[in-house]
Amino acid sequence: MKINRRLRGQEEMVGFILIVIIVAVIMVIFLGISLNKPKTETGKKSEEIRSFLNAMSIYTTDCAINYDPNYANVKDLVQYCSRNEDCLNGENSCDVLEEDLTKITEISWQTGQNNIKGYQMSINSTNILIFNGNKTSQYIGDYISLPAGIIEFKVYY
Amino acid sequence: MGIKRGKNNRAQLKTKKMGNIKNQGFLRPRKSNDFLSFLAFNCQNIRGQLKIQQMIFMLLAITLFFSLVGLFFLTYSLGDIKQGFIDIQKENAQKIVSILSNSAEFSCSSKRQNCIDMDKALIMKDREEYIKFWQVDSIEIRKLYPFEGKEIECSIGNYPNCNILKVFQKRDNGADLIAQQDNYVSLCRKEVKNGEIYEKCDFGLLIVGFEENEN
Repeated sequence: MKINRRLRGQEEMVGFILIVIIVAVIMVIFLGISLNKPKTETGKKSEEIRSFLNAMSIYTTDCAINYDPNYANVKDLVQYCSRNEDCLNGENSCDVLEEDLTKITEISWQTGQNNIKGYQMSINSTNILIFNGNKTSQYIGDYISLPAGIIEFKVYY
Repeated sequence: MGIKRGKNNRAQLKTKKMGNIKNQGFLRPRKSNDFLSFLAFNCQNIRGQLKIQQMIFMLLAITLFFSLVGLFFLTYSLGDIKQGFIDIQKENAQKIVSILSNSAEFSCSSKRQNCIDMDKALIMKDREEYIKFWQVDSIEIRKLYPFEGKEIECSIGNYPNCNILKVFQKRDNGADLIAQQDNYVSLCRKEVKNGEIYEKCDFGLLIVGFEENEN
């Protein structure tokens, strides 16, 4: 009897510690579940992307179609590319368009900087698809509608 | 002669001794049963105090534990609010840049969005009357593509064979600017070829510098 009385206090302490451990484990499990929720691909429009596309669509290329110096901008070149026309200097309009768009996106959106993991640009009326880096579930993107097609651009983070 | 200590004297001596002891305040231990009950009573008092101490300790520990948990949760949730504030500030700054790029002093005559007339911008360079008008610390236009290979600041003498146009700058040293926001723009100008005037547009960046409090 004397021994049981002495141990009662110790039993209570052990019980308390057990409760604390159980609660801590439950909290950690809950935290882990909430942080590891499968992230569905989420995208949001961005003013920055919209400005980029607007500015890019006005860029004057080195491709003149009808006469020199009637150089086409990107907007017009998409139209010519969809019809597979050639420039006056013999180059294919789609090659010129792809080359200029590739260089412009490379300079503007450098992967590895500012958390950019990759980007993708596509023009639905042509076979042009520019991709660099890696795709992730988080991205921002936008598109512009042109008379001859839609240019869609996504930046992955 | 001498004093004979008989039984009576012995008893008197005892009572005398007893009186002395009582007067000195000694608690004369009683018989063994009373001593044990006294000990038992003291033990019960101590046990009660121990239980109270245990309860206090447990309550303190639980309070401390849950306050730590609450603190951790608050830190996690408030972190999102701070990031949201920074995002809103950045968005406001970008809107200022967007408004500037479409203002009459810079925009192209064809009223296209995100189009800057470089000929106009060159004329606006270092116009002191406009420094207070725009309420920003600096405006810089930078050509990104095509790139000439090295940075050349624009002036009347080398335009358009240059790629950086500093429209104005409040501070003498540009590195003192606290915050900068930029926006993609097309940089258009009139060119002449074969006797014909045509519009040539490059791809560039409009960079606006201002203090953080102005956002």
